[in-house]
Amino acid sequence: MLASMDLQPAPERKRNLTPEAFASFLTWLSPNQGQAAREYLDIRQTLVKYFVRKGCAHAEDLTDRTLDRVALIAQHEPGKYPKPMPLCCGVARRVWLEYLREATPEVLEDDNIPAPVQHEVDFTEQEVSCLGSCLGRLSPRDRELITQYHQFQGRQKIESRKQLAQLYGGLNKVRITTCRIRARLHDCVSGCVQRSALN
Amino acid sequence: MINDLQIREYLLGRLDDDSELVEQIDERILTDAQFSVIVDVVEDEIMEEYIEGSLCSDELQSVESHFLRPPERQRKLRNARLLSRHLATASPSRESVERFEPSRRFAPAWILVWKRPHFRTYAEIAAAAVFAVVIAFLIYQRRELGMTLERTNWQMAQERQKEIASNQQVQPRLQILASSTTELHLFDAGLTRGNGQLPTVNVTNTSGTLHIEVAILSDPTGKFHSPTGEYQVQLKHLGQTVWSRDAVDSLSVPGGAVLSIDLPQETLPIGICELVVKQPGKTALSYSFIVSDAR
Repeated sequence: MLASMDLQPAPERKRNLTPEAFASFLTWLSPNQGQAAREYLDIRQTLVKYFVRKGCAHAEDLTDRTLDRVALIAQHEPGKYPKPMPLCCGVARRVWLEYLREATPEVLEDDNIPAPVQHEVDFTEQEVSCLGSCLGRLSPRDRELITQYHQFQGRQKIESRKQLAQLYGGLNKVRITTCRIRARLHDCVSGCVQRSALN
Repeated sequence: MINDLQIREYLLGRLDDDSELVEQIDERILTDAQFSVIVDVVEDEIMEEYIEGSLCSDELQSVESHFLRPPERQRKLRNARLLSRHLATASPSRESVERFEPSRRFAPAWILVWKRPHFRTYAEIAAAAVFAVVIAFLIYQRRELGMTLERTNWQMAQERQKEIASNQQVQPRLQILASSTTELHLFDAGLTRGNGQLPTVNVTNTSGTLHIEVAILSDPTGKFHSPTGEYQVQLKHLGQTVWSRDAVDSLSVPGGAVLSIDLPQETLPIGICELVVKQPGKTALSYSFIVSDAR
């Protein structure tokens, strides 16, 4: 079912943002061109993540739709919104609610049957090699932490993480630190695999 | 206050999209970077439990019908599985084995002695005699060592007094130096995004100096800089140039170059600053950092 949902085409959408409106939007973000470009990419990345967290399979598409609307609003009423993010937030939420109403897929009979859990996944040699290389790029402290954090299961895992929490300044700190390490590893492995595929 | 459980329900798509709670979470995800990190943590924990197979059936269904719908999350799951499998097959470190398996630690020495076979009586007496002689010799040596140690301690105390006297003379000068110079190291060109943070420098003394070292990675394309040559450096705040210097030399190091710049702290504006580094005819490199007022 997962695969079938992902293959659905993105909802039809008409882009009505002119180059002038987009340029005006960038100027609204910042009079400095470089800074405006950076802010635009930053906002875009935040919005994509927002829609992914909503469980949306068309996050990029809804992000573009949101930014188009924000750009038009900013072009017509530049002084009304001093900061872009609160405006983006309101528009993104509206776009999401509209998407929920418009993109109601046909209910299949087996819609409630979960996809089979794939415990055994085959990884390519490239992926394994990239992970090894990316782990090697971590600092010894981060590598030791991530290894210990994921070393055990069940009761031993709980005990191990309690001890790590004592060593690293609290459980929340350890959770956040390991999350950041995993994010870095994810980016590193994805980039490495992509580069390998191109070569 | 939004807790982890509510974030979890949100990520699993089990909250009403029209509810006030979802609206609050939406808003904080988009505007509060720290909250967004917590959401990342909860997201990772859902994936971890999914990989371990420890989710209850309701949650499992939510994960497969909602949580894993975005292709981005499926890629993340794949990498999480890869990491999990790699670390599961890696052997636990010696320290962790000792920590969690105390039974493997060494048995007390008396148990080992107890288990040894008995010596014959004469051998025991001879051994006891040798043992007594050795002990007497050791006691003598210890007394000699004690005297030597006392002499050494006295000499060290004299040396320490001299050192304290020297420190008292040098310390005020060092304090003046330390309070007037602040250091900042910049590595990544461009703004740091996602979970990254901009480097921050605390201005403690407006009459001091900010020493900045910029690491410039080697550029095989030659678009941004050449290995040798001088740089023009500009400090910008809110799009305005607040300080600049031409003909700044770089130090060539393996893998790139290092640029050292000293800025008077009085020129530093509070807030996000941008250090723009450029060689004539090349594309500029920009490094952002935050100046915080700690006076």
